Parts: sequence; structure tokens; C-alpha cells
Amino acid sequence: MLPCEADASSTWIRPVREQTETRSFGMSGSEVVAIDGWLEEVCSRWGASERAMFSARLCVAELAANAIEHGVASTDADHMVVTVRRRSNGIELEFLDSRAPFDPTGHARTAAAQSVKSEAPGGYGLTLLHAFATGLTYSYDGTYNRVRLTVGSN
Amino acid sequence: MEIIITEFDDASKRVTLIGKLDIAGAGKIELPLATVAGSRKNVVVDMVGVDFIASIGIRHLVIAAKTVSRANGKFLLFNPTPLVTEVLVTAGLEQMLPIVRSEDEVLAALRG
Repeated sequence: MLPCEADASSTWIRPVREQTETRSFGMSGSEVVAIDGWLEEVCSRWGASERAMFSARLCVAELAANAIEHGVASTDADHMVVTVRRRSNGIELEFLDSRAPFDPTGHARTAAAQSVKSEAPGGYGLTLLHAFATGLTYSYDGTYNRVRLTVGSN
Repeated sequence: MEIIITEFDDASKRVTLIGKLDIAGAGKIELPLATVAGSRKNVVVDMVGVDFIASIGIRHLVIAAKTVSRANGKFLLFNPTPLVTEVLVTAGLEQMLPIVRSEDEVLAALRG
């Protein structure tokens, strides 16, 4: 049986066809831009809400930027793999990177400083990840850091 | 990402950003925004046309705000979209990067 979502225009319940797409990317800033464009295209094609699409793009952008900026290289062929699944309760994302083991789900920024003069810019990404994602989990399988999360309803 | 810099008044500059403030957009605004921030004038960043922001974009805004603040200037964000506003508030920056919603609010904040 297919999962369902409420149709705002009527009392009908229409089925959500679960769909999955996966793509691999290199480990560079231009590839982060490519991931974003691909996610935007997939979410648009699936008719995801503006919020779900924004949240998906934000969470993956932060995970990818974190892997590139802070991840310790494992091989010359380090890469990222993004899987996006359309579910009845939103969009499920799986983000893999082949950098050295690092758990981003266990790190969140401390509170912002009281004034801009004393603020140390940075560390916002993981705070945003925790706020915009639900069901955030991390594992390392010997090859990949694997982060799973869900964003909004689509 | 497009960045347009104009005079707002004698003591202030307006920086209009259009596009995604992602890793690529942040790279494009870094130098011009830092230059404006170092001009010893108030800075009003028009965010109406920014449809996406990530932490790397936030970082450049905070760095610019710090520079302006050191010269006792004011750094304001004009009318970001609801989702961009949510990102800024979630990051805990609503005090450091004050958001104004109208030209009147801009003028009041600059005079205040």
C-alpha cells in the first residue's frame, strides 16, 4: 500500500509515490554548487514545498561544506554521494563522504556572542543542520561517513 | 550572485545582493563586501533578492558587520525572505545583524 498525504484542495487522500535518486560528486566547492542545483531540480520535479526544498538544500550544503573545509582527506579520490528519497512524511536525505571519520551530529555551536564585536564568525553550519533536519543520525562504515536526516513535509 | 553597491546617503552605502548566498555566492561577495565594510560608513544590505543562504554566506555578513561596528557604524539587513530570516534567527544573529523591513525603519535605525 502506498503512503498518503492530505490534498489541501479537497478531502481526498492521494498517494505519494516514493522515489529515490542518487548521485556522486567530487570534493570541491564547485561540486557543492552542483549538488545544490541537482537537489533543486529533483525537489522541483517532485513538487516539494518551498520549505522542504530549502531545508534539503541547506542541510546538504552544510554537510558538504563541512566535509570539504574540515574533513581530513582519506584518499586522492575522496568524494560525496547524495541520495534523496521522497517519503510521505517529507524528504529523506542520505549524505556520504569518504573523508576521515567525523560525526557532525555530535557538534553544535555554542550560543552567539552578546555583541558583534565579540562574535567569532563561524560554526553556524552545524547549528543550522540540527535546526532544519529531523531524525539526524550518523554512522561510519569503514569507508563512508553516513548522515541520514529528514526535512519537512513535501 | 550579483552584488550592486550604491550610495544610500552621505554616511551610508547600500549593498544589493541578488541570487544564492551559497559557497559560490559567498566567494563573489567576499572582497566587495569587505571593501564597503571598511569604508567607515553605515552599510545597508538589501537582501530581498537573496533566495538561499548557507553558513558560509552568514560568515561573510558577520565579518562585515564586525568591521563596520569597529568604526562605530551600523550594519543592517533589509527585508530578507522568511526562510532566509529563519536561517539568520536560528543562527542566533538577529541582534548582531538587525533586520529592517521598510525604508522608514532603515532611516530610523541609522539615525538611532
